[in-house]
Formats: sequence, structure tokens, C-alpha cells
Amino acid sequence: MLARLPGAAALHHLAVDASRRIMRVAERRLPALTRWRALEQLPVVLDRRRIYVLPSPPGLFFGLLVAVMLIGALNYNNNPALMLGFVVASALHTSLLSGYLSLRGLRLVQVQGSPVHAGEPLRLRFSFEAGERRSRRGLCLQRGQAHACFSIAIGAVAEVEIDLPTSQRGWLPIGRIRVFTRHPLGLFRIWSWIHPDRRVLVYPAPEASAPALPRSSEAGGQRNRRGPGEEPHSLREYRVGDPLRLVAWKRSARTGHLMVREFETPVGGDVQLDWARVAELPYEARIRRLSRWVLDAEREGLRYTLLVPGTRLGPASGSDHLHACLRALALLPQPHQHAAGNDR
Amino acid sequence: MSAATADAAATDLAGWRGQATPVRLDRRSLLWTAAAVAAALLPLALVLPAWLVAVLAVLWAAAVALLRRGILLPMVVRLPLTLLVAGAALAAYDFRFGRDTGAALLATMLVLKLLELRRARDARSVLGFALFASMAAFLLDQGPAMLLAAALGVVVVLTALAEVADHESGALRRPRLRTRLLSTLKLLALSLPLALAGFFLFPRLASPLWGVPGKATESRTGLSDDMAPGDIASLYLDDSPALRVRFEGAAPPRSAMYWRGPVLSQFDGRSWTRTPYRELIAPEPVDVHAAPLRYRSMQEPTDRRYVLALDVPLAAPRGVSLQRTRSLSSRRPLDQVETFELQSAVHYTLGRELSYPAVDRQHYTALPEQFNPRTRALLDEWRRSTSDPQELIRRALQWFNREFTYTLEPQLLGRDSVDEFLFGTKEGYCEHFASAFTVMMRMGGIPARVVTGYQGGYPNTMGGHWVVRHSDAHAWSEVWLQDRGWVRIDPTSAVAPARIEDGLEGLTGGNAEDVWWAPLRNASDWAVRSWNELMLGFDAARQRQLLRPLGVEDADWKTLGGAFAIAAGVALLLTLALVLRERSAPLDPLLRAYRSFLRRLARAGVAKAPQEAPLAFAERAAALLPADAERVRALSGRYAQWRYARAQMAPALQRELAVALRAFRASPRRGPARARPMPGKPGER
Repeated sequence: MLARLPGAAALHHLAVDASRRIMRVAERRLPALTRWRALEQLPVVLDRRRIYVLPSPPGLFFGLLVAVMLIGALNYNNNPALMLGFVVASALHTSLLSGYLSLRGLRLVQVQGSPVHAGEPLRLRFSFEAGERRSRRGLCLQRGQAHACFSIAIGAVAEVEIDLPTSQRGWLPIGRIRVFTRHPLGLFRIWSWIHPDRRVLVYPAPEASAPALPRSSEAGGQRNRRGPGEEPHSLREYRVGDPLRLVAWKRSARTGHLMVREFETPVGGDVQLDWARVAELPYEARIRRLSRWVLDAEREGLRYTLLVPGTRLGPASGSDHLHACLRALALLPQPHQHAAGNDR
Repeated sequence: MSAATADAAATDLAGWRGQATPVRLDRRSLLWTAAAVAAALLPLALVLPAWLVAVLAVLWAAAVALLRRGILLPMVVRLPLTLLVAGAALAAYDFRFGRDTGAALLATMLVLKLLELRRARDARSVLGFALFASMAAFLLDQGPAMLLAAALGVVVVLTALAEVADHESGALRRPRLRTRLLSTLKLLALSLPLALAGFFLFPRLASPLWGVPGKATESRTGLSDDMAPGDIASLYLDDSPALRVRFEGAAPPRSAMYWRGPVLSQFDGRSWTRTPYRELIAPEPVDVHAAPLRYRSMQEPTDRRYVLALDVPLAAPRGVSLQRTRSLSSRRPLDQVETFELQSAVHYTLGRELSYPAVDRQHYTALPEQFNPRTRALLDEWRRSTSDPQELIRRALQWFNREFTYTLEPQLLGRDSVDEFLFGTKEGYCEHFASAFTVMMRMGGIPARVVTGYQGGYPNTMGGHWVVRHSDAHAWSEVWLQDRGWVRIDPTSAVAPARIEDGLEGLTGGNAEDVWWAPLRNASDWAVRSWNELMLGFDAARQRQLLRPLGVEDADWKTLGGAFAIAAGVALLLTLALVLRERSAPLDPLLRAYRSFLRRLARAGVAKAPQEAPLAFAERAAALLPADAERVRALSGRYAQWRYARAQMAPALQRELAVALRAFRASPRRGPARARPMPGKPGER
């Protein structure tokens, strides 16, 4: 409605500008309030100097209500009403205290995320420790638009997962996250910013419809007929970073541990995936094409060699090699040096 | 460390903003909100008309049934229903607005709002107004029952708030009812110190900023400003207390306990009324013959202005004026229990000289013409035989004593009420006697007036106070005699002396003090009195005296504000200390034992870094303390086994391990090789 008024856009612009300026000052003077720049080493413990409290809209409503009750009771010298008003008022205050304490001492011990291809959501896994003093309920974690809520029992660790949108290959800083709670009555918003010094790798997005693998002549004969997921060679325990599709759910349910299918290292032909051979494509498209080929080669059980400027990987195959190749592709220098690490 | 999976609900959660994605309530929070509304309306149910309470109860039950099934009534049903019920509530008070009308409307709206309860926001506004309803109930009544009901309301409202907040943050596993209620009670208990500091020390207003809204209906019993024979009858049946009195010294005899209320001096042939303009003149002077009685009176609310005092009051307390006729009148209607510090003279001479002899004599002998001719004739006849006022009084009282009977159910009287009473029915109660006697005196040329009030009282041995009940309501006469001033004549005592000696029960045969439940009654009355004293009687004046033990004689609002700030600070510290001390679950004994094991190792020079796993640490310790290597490895191994596979270890083994861990002592060092401090960043926790 506001935007339709003439001049509103200019006003809006002014307001945004002003708020940015205020934030800049705040960042300089009160780093904990904004925590835009200062990166922190894990583990991060929330202490009183970085926890902020403001009443939530219902909290303002209740505050107003209690104020009216108190003034009325004082005016009428109505003692039971006054007592009621003071009890409610101080209960609101105690709820603030209790909410504050459910943040204080919370430790963020670990942030992990398995690499994904650009464009896929990256699942970040935050590990929070409650500490030995209290259990914590109704905590929420927010990053950008995404948020998740969790509770931690005393002395336990909670793992909270949040999906991060990705758009670009390369290092993606986790950025600042907000831990907040409305516990216990929902009348106060209590929050703290954390800006962990962590980044996760985003692999390049593989080309959607790429031409077939460039097979070298000596690798033409034997093809490994085994596709993935047909006959696993063996099972091993889940390790962080294993793709979910490899989890053997039935076996996992039976044993109580997450089990992952491991495939026999297949014997296949060698392929050369050479940066120079896709020279006709634009820079990023080359990377996407190579990523596709690397994935295809791995899926088909071939041994493959990746040649990119300054690096030669392989020939080899297997999960480690695949990730090494994708990593090398992800970390190829950006064509314009400005884009890296700019994601907020 | 055992990992707890996050309670992350995939469905709607309130984000940081909360408003962007309004959260729909689940059934559990809906029902809690409904329960909170019921609990918060409980106090109001005690004072609202019964039929309205019944209608609201039915509506509430219907709303709960709909909420359980998740049905939302369409607007076409809700709107007319709301208008209908609200209209009915208004009609119950004849569309007059007052405190009670407002409370009824609030209750109605709260129940109807349940019908459209959907989102967390709705629930919160309902809960807020529910708290307000508890408060509104206190404007209507302030008894202890009310407070209990309101306390229950607060507990349920806060619990419902927590329930809604929990749902909003997507906690899948909600605590059980017991845990929930306990945490609310804990919250309230922790809030109590601050609340008490506020209650006692927050500076009070000596005079209100704005007036208390009146009530649309008069429902309280009490004396009225006029008296027509037959009026007080309803009071006689009301056994509830009107007044509680604690005397500073010995109490006067019961027969002398005349509690002075409004004085009526204008007679229109049927009823007696006050003459307000005359009451503004300075009070009639009193000569006191004995030491005045000091007492503290706690008067139940009447919604009227009169303040009862023992005949006759000597001074007016704050906020009360002493009228010309020595009745006390409050500046505002008494709508709650009020405490007054009073002093009265029991032996006195009131108004030895009439201040304005001509006017006063005329005023106090005025009677309407053409009423009660037979009485007038009788008095004219008496006056011919004697001119002594005392003789006239004696004759009248003798006549009453001889021929009249006391009854609470007299026949109705017509136009010449005094004639009909004196020469016809010859039966009645105090009003009849006082009215007839005063009229007779006026006809005999003696200034006379009617005093209404209460007579008597019941000692409550438990509380050491006296209770005056509404059934003790009484009316008597005062006549003005030369040199003696206004003299109290109670014609009822001439007819039924037992009424004065033993109270109403003395006449009807029952005795209030002898019934088997008298102790119970005394105890409950004592409880109510203490409640009144502690809770209701605390006002600006008492607050000023509160700091007296601390050497502050008469605390003004600044001192009080300071005291409040200090007390609030102390209360907050107390709360904080309690909160910080809390530990939801005690540490496992094995964990404690392992810590003591770590302390021993630290003393031996090997401290465990927080991030170090037990087994890795054991290896490091074993390397540094070769003498204890085996023991350290074994204990750590078993501890790690317990820590990470807790379920598999039998309780007996756990206990054994705890004992072994505690028993561990590092062997004394031989070599000078002090262990190096632990690796890692020393500053890290």
C-alpha cells in the first residue's frame, strides 16, 4: 500500500539507507549486535554480552495489558487486583529471565555440511551442546529465510539441520546465523548472532545434457555392466559425507547403525577428461561439462583422469577420486574475481 | 555424548518475525486456551447473574466441542450469535453501563472469541483478555474466594501461553500435564518476591486519579438514606457481617453498642429522610464524660457513603466527614472493605445547646399537616396534663411496654401509618417504634429525630474482635432535652428488652453463640478478617507507616520509590539466585566419579582438555604416567564403554566402576619428569 504512494519509493530508499548506516555504526561499536564481519572460531559459547532481548508483539500487548491493570488497580486502590497485576508483571519478567538462561551457556560446537552441486540445497548440520546445567527447550536457529527449532536435554548435543540455497561453485561461507528463542511464554524474543568461521564447498553444477564421455581408444572393449545399486559388494558404517542414496535402509534398521553400500571398484576403461578438449565452450560451461563427465565416469565405473589448468588428477576411480576431482573443478579460479565469498 | 535429534517440525513454525507465517494452533493449545478462558472467568462467575453464567457455560462447552472437531462456524452464524448474547448481557443490566455490565460483556466476548480461535495470535489475545477478566472480577468483589479463583486463572492462563509458545516453536514432544503445571507454578513462585515488593512498596495513590465507575445494579445490603416502616426487614434476614471491630481496650457492654449510621430528621407522613444540606454545618458539640474508646472498624462494602461508628464518634478519619448530626459520611461510596481508625464517646452530652435554637427547634419538630390526627389528639391531651418532656417520654415508653409486641412480620400500614400502628396493629419492629415514638415526641413539642444504624455485636474470641451483622440493623430515636442535649431513646428496648440485651436471636429463641458450629463460624470470620486486614486494608496510609521499623517515620513517595527499587533489586537477585542454582537433573554418579578421577590425574600433572575423548586422553596419560598406564587405560576404557553404550552396562557394574574411579590414586613420582601441560590451546574451554 505504501509503495503505491508517490515518493514512497524514495522514502523507502532513504529508510533502507539509514538503517544500513546504523548497522554499519553498530557493527563497529557493538559487534555482537550485528556480527556481520567478525568471524568466530568454534566452539562458540553464548554469554550475556552477546544475547539480546526485545519483547515480541504479543509481549508488547501483554505489557500494555499489565500496565493498564496496574494503573487501574492503583487508582481504585484495589489490592487484590494490584497483587494480581504485580504477580503477572513479575511472571513476565521471570519468563524473560528463563528465556535468557535457555540461551546463555549454549555452545555451538560444530557446523558441517557435505558438498553439493551448485543449485542444490546444501544441508548444514549444526551441533549444539546444552551443557551440564540445564536442558533447553524451544530454541530456534535461523539463517536467511530458513529456520529450524530444537530442544536439548541436559548434557546432550542437538544436531539441527538447515538447508542453504547454493548458486555458485566454490567456497560458500556459512554466514551469520541467529539463534533465538521465545521460550517459555512467547512474549520475548531473545537472540544472539553467531558468525562461525566456516565455509563449505559447493561443487559446480553438472551440465544437464552433456555429450557422451570422450572415451579413449584403448578403453573401448570391456565395459563394466554393473550399474550402481544392483549388487553391493559390502556394507560399511555411515561416514559423514556419504550420499544418502547409498544408505542401506533395511540393513540399517536391522542393525541400529546407519549402513552404507560400498561398491566393488569396477574395472573399466580409462578416460581422459581434459580441460583443453572442451575449449570451444565458455569458461563456466567447461567446468560444468567436466563435472558432468566426472560424474558419468564414476557412475560407469571407469578409471578417469582429470586435467585442469595446473592440476592433474588420476587416473583413478572411487569416491575419493570423484570428490577430489569435483573439488578441483569447484576451486578453479572464478572468471571475475569479485564473486567469491560474497554470499550472505 | 548422546545426540538428541532436533525437534524440528517440518510443518509451520513461527519464524523470527512470527507474523509472516501465522501459526495455526493445534488441538492441544486450543483446548488449553479454552481451559484458560474457563478458569479466568471463574471469579466472574461468582458475581455475574446466574442465568448469564449458565448461558456462557453452555456456549463454552459448545465452543470446546467445535474446537475438538476443528470446526469453524461461518461468519453468518457467529456474528448474529455474538450480537444476540452480548445484547442479552446488556439487557440483563437494562442497558445501563457500569463495572458489572462491563465485566459481563468482557466475559461474553471472551467465550464467543473461542468460536473463532485459529491462530497463535488469536490465542494470545484471548489469554491476555482472560487475565483482564480476572482483574475485572476484583472490581466487583474482593473476597478470598475471588482471589483463589483468580490465582487458578493465572496459573491456567500462563500454562496455556507456554503451550501456545511451545507449539509455535515446533516442539514435537510436549511435556506432560504435570510437568507443565509444575513449571508454571515454579515460574510463579520465582516471581513472588518481586510481586510482593511491588505490592507493598510501590508508591500508592492517596487519592484516585479518576473515579471508580459505578455499578449498574445495586445489589449490596446496607442501610438506606431513608426509612419507611418495613424497609429494614430484608436486612434482618441477612446474616452476613456488616462490620468487624477491634477495640483497643475493653469493649463496652453489648447493650451500649449502638452503631450510628445516617440520622433522619425529615418526615413526610410515611418515610423518614436525611436533610443533606443541614449536615454540612459544623458538627454538634460533644461533652465527653469518660475516656473515649479507640477502635479499628472494618466495614464491608455497601456502595453507599455512610460509615458506622459507635455512638457518638468524636473525629472523622481521612476521607470521611463528620456531619452535623455526628454521623460519619465517606467522600465516596464504599465499594470495598474499608478500615477506619475511630474514637467514640459512650458517655457523653451531645449538643447541650441547640446551635440555632429557633431554626433547629422548628426543624426537629416539623411534621406534615393532616397526617395521623389521632396521635396528634393523644399528644395534645398528654400535654394538657404535663409540660415535662421527660414525663411525656415516660408515658410513651410505658404505653409501648404495656400494649405493644415485637414482631418481624407486622401487618402493612396505610396512609396514617403512625395512627394505624399506635391504635390498630400495635405490633412491629424497631422502625415502627422509632418512627412512631419520634412522631409522638415532635407532636409533644420535643425536638426529636430518628437514628439508623446497628445495635449489638458478637465477640469472636478467636480473632479478638466483634462482628456486627446486617441482621443487627436497628433504628432508634434521639430527643433533645434542655440541659441534657440529644438523648438516645430506644423505644424498642421498652417493648423487647431482649432485643437489645441478646440481639435478635434473644427474641427468636436461637442464640448465635451456642450453636454447635459457632467455633467454625468464628474461625472463618477470623480468616476473613485477617484477609481484610492484610490484603484489603493496605492503603497509602498504611504504606506510609510500613517503613517505621526502619526508622522512616512518614515515608513519602520518593522514599517509597527508593525502597521499592531496593526491594525489587533484592527480589530480582533472589529470583536470579534461585534460577541460576537450578539443575534439572542431578549429575550421574558415574560422571561425578569420572570427574574425580580426572582431578586426581590433573594433580598428577595430566589434565584432560575438554575436546579430548576419554580414550585418547587415556593414551596420553598412560604415556606420561607409565606407572599407572594399565589402570588408567582400563578405567578409561570401561568409562568410555559406559559413556557411549550406556544401556549395555549392568547397574552393578556401573556402581563398581564408579567406586574404582573414585579409588584411583596416581602412584608417587620417582623421576623428576613433570608432565608437560596438555596440548591444545590453553585458553580454550
